Amino acid sequence: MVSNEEIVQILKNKFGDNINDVVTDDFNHTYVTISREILKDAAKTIAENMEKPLAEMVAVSDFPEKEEFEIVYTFWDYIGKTLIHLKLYVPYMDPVVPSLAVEFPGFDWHEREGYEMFGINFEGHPNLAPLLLEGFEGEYPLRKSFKLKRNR
Amino acid sequence: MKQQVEIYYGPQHPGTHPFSILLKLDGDIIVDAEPKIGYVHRAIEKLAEYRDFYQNIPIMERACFLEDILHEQGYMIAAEKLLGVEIPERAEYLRVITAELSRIISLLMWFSMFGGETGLSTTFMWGFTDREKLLDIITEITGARVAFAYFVPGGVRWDFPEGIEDKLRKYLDYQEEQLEVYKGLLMDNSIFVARTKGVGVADTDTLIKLGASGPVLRANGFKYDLRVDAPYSVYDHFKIDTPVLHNGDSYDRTMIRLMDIKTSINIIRQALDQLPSGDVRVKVRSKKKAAPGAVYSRVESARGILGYYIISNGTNKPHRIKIRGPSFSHMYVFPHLIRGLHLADVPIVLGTLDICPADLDR
Repeated sequence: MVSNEEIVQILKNKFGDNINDVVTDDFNHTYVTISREILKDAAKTIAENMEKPLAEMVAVSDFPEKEEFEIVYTFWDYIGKTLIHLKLYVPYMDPVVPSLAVEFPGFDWHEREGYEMFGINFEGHPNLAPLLLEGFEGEYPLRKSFKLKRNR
Repeated sequence: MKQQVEIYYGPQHPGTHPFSILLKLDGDIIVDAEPKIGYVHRAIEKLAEYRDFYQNIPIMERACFLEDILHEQGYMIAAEKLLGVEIPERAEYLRVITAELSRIISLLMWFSMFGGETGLSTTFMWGFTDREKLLDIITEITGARVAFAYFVPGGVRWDFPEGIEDKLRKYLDYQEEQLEVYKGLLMDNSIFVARTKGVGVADTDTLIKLGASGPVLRANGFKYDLRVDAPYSVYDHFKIDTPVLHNGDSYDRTMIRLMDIKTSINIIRQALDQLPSGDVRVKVRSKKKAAPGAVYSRVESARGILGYYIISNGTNKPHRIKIRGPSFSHMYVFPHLIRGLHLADVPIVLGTLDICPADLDR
């Protein structure tokens, strides 16, 4: 069994400067902030060091003050009981992230949701089509610039 | 001449909920299936950004009204972490008891509906009768039949009313006996066995790769339970026997859910035995500001791993809430289980995945 710290150490040895920040919270969830170039390799490294990795979640969030999106990929190891979030930031001007949907099918729909709600282009996704809002036209609904009618 | 046909299964079909599945058929063999979801999308993740942590309680439990307290539980663990609130021990126990009751309610609802889908109207009636008895008890506790809003930041809304523990114990004894009756109803029914045995199987590695969790994995011989593996609340105070079955077919996915009810009954009994006295709520102002940062909380819901990722920007409203619903992942698993089976197997496989459309679309 490989612990959070050991996986982080392996990532650090492998990617060095591309790892910007590592935080572990009280729930023993580790947040590793990386640059987007190494996302695919970092995800692969994490999965290789986990026994039964579950591609649990992709969460996209919008930060209008900084004009960037935060994207979090969550990996949970059923056997080792470790949970690691890979966190990366992409600017408004260039919302492109390499897709993990082929290697980790569990992320497939989560990425499609991120695409249709925030307009993130997951590069290399096999089927980046709207999932929940088929036929909807207009601004990306979960961006902060999209106001609810009552609050406009 | 062979020709493939495309048909829409749902959203009006009684075997589905508000979603449809585009099936590609060769005769009545399913070549491919493409779920079409989004019929009940309410953008509750967006709504939550406009409301404070108190006002979000009723919103979050509506992410899946069948297991609302489990959603409250997941949301509240993250919200209280951000608000910096510690809750009294008695409140934790009351939360565990009501959460497990909510799990039983959800599983009984599933049992009834699955009976309806397989054409067994007896299970439908019996399941609902027993659920109704439990709803009466939970109404006394929380004041509502569904959408309880029983958890508040700092504890629970109010203490258990007098005499409810005896009623609860009596109900648990009754329900435990009923489980055997249910099992007899299904196991002794040759039609049910013929329709579910060996239907909708995949190996564990594939299921995990696709994102499966909960009873779907436990029916596949894979033992895990977040209540044991990553304990939250006071689940580490109890002895929890996680049930496991090994065939991974629709029959085992049915039986594992009945065994899950039994596990919940055992947890509630232990919680009632250990129930400490004291306060059930500490006051938390609704204007209280949360600490900036992000928290990811996860609970074992009746359907699988339920996660709440909440980002706070230091105000009394969340900056972003992302819900990781188990049904969302299980719907993705469905096409992989159904390929190569018959059209008549669709409600069986769909039923045993226990999709909650509200949690699917959010």
